[in-house]
Amino acid sequence: MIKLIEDYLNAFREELKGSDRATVQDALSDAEDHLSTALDIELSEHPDESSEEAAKNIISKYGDPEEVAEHYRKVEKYTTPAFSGEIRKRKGLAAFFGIISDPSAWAALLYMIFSLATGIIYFTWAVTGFSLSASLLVLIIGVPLAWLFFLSFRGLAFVEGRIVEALLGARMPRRAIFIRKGDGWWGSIKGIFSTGSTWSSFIYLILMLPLGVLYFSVFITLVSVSLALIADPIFELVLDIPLFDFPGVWWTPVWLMPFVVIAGACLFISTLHLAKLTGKLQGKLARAMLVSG
Amino acid sequence: MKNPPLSGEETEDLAETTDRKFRKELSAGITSLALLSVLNNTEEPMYGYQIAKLMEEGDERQTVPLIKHGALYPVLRSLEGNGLLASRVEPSVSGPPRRYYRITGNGRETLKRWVDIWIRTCRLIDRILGGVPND
Repeated sequence: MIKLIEDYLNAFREELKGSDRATVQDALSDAEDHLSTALDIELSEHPDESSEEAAKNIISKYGDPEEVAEHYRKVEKYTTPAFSGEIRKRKGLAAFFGIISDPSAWAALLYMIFSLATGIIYFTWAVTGFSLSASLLVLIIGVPLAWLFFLSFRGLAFVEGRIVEALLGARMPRRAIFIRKGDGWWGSIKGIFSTGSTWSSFIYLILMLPLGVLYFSVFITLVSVSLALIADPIFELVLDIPLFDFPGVWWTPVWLMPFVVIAGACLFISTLHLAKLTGKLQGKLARAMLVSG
Repeated sequence: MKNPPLSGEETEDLAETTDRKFRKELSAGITSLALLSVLNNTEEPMYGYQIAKLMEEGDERQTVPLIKHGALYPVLRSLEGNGLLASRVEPSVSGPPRRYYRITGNGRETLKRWVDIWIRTCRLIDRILGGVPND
């Protein structure tokens, strides 16, 4: 990486300060990718040109850091994540029941249910990769293996980021971090291990197993209990199944049934609220651990 | 001119700032139009740098393009977000994987409407500028 481009990227990073972390990561990757591609092509087309001269020309065409940063900020306003918008503010009971028409709560609930599966996959992959490469580090083959695994952790982190943005509405990077070329193999190995976000992504992947198990059990329990309460009259009057079978058979008195149904509905609505809240926290966690900006 | 006269250097500075501001304001709207049009005219999907290169073609002398290359990427992504473009990522022989963009059916429809708006805007500006003598 030649100095002019390095300087430009630093100035650009400075200009982007205060923008969303994920936007910063995207913008810097775009710039670095474009500038280095352009420099390579320019130099191969005009071999007599000095790399300084070519870089200067390419940078001036890319635009002042200030100008480009402003473009990113402007476009960012139009491309917010699908579920991040505030829906109509309601008050009191309407706010409580209104969540049923809030797609973000349903999406968060979906994320909580999925997180068991994704959590298991992330955990298995991360632990296998880490222990395999750590134990092989005594042999020289451990180094490239560790590098490949950590590269895949970054990939998984990117995928998880996309899921988080789609279902939880937290702004996450829209392009994956890439390995800078021209640093040589040792440079790229060092690069991946010295980046803080590689390690925090790794921890996040591990953490997703306990979190996934917790989310899944809590939400599946809440959803099934509330559905069972709502369907109580059908179970008891049509299918002849009591509400409780343990520690003793218990039939709901008919006068109580409407209240049981209402309690089930309220529990379900509360579950949606809880899912939305948990989704917000999970989104914050993902932004803190998976974004490098 | 009622303002106090400016020195030569000051006039140059002022001209440069206003030019830059004007260029920036102009480019904001036309970037989306230009991107849609470029991708509509090519058969193959293209990546950012290719698009930037293609937009410059036939305009070799111009060292500072009206549409800065850095402005293309956020706009490409937002056009994709609105369903006017579609993209896929392909690994490249050298460097990071590249995102190739192509126009969608919706994008073509939108382009038709935008071209119409553009032509009407041009006519309006031409008509107004027609009254300004060239020097």
